[in-house]
Amino acid sequence: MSESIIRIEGLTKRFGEVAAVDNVDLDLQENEFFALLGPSGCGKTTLLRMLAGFETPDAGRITLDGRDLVGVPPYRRPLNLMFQTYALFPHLRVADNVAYGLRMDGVGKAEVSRRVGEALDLVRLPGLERRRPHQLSGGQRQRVALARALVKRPRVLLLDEPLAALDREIRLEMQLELKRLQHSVGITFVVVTHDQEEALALADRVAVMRTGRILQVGPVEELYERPRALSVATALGEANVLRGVVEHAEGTDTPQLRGTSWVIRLDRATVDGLALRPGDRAAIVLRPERTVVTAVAGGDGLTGMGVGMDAAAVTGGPEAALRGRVSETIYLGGSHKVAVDVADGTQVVARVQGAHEANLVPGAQVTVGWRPDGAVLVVDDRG
Amino acid sequence: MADRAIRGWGRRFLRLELGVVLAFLYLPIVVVAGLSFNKSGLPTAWTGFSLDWYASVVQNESLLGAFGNTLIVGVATTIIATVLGTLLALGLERTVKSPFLYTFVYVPMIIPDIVFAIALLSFYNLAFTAMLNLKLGLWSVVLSHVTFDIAFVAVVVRTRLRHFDRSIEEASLDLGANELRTFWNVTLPAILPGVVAGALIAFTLSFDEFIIAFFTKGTSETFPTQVYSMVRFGVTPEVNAIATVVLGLSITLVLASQRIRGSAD
Repeated sequence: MSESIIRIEGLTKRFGEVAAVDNVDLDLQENEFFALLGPSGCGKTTLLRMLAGFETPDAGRITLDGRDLVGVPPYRRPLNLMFQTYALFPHLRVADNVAYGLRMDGVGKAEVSRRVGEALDLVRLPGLERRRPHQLSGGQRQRVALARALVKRPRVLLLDEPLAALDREIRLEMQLELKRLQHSVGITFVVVTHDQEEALALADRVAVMRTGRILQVGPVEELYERPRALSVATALGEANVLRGVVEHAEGTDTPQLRGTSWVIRLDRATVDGLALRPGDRAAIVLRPERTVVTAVAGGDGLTGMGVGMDAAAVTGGPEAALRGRVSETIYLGGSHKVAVDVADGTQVVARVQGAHEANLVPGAQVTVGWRPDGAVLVVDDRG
Repeated sequence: MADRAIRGWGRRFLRLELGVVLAFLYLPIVVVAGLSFNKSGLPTAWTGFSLDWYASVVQNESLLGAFGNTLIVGVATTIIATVLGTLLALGLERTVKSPFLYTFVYVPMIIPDIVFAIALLSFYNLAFTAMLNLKLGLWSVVLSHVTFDIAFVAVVVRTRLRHFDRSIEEASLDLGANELRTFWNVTLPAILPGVVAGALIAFTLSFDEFIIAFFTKGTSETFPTQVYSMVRFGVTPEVNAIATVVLGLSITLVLASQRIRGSAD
């Protein structure tokens, strides 16, 4: 792990009765690409604005390189923000927009023009110095905004929904561009987004936020592979969810999850790790690419509807199976998306190659299963 | 499609109506301008082109003095009212969001001038003449004009502020400019068209304002009060010449302000 650059402790911001940011702890590291992911209104923008200095926290601390930032005005913070709307100065030319921050710092003329040139090269936008913002395309405006924020070599670059205002094609291009930039300048990037694809594509580490709290922080892969709560699992990537209640198998202390039409044996260490007790609500998360759908020979799949009690262990057990019927298949190019209605009404989606060869056509009786490490037990935090 | 709905007679009637309105508006002005060049000075007979009346205006010292006074009052009023009105607009838009307060601020715009004039005069007599022993003069005209001009400037600037994207101010703060520099570098340039338009309106209103100036001028004369005293015994050809000059200035100002507004949008 590299050095921590920003440390947030117990940060709280209330608007009236509502806590927009509620007792948040977070460490941001040197030279990482960090994403704050959450739906609109979850407090991520408020958190970002407190980092930039536009909102004052009601409680808690933000330190940057060990220095307390609370009470420091935005113009004395060594971090810069790229606004969602870019907020270019409409009356200034591109070069003057980029030069603005340097001029405010009293940097000499020659150095200003050298560094403005470098910054525009960095974002691959040379030759437009004399244009005004309204003469630029959306993608060009974003590059100017990036150059303007990077030219001061901030310790941290904050980006508010950086790709939201762009067309799909330019958005994909800019995703790569942002990654490249972050690698080449070696500055910590913090991006705020409601778009999980954006978070997955850009970030090294992600914090999933909901109603002012951070549900889980970690490397993207970890959050995707080992979410601890249902909200986290569904916030990142597609997920099949089997919801149930934790209980002990009759006469034993082996934990299991009971759904309306199925029971799945659980791994005790995992259950203890999540501090789940009998009676607690939990869910099993299956990623579509790790979900295995197998056609049942003889078509007797749903005869036991409502009692499809195929037991399976979530971790370490043999390949598990639930029964169901294919409701739809969608060709994705190279693979199919197969939707299966499980006996209790839950829909499960699997990504399958060669669906037709495997007789996975609408109406087919199937079992739904997963590979030993393909399912994750999570706390059901969705009420 | 809407204009196609009006055809034939209806269309002809509307054209006629437009012609009548324009004639009604501009004929008197054309007549005044024409008469100002009439050698005889009589409104009844054209006796030849001449600039004599303009020459006589230029030699009329009391009129020139009054014109100078009006410029002083106008410029002083414009500067003070523009600064205060702009600040007022900023305050109204960004701090106290109270419709009640808005109404109070804008009331001077709709109070009849005569009522406002009487009120100011009574107040000045009490506060300045009686208590401070000051004589009313141009300064009290400036004070009065500022009082109502602030509201006009504030209205115009506020419209501009309404459509203002505050994130550019935050961007400026974020890039290292403090609040004051942000105001100068970002806010003011963005609202400048509104401020200039407000200033032009303030100057125009002050320039030809008669009633309030008449009540609060003490023994000084402004251009309108001077012209008024000249026409008490009939319109002289000199007055026609003055009117024509002022007309020329007004048209120039209006065109200028439209250009400024146009280039801003």
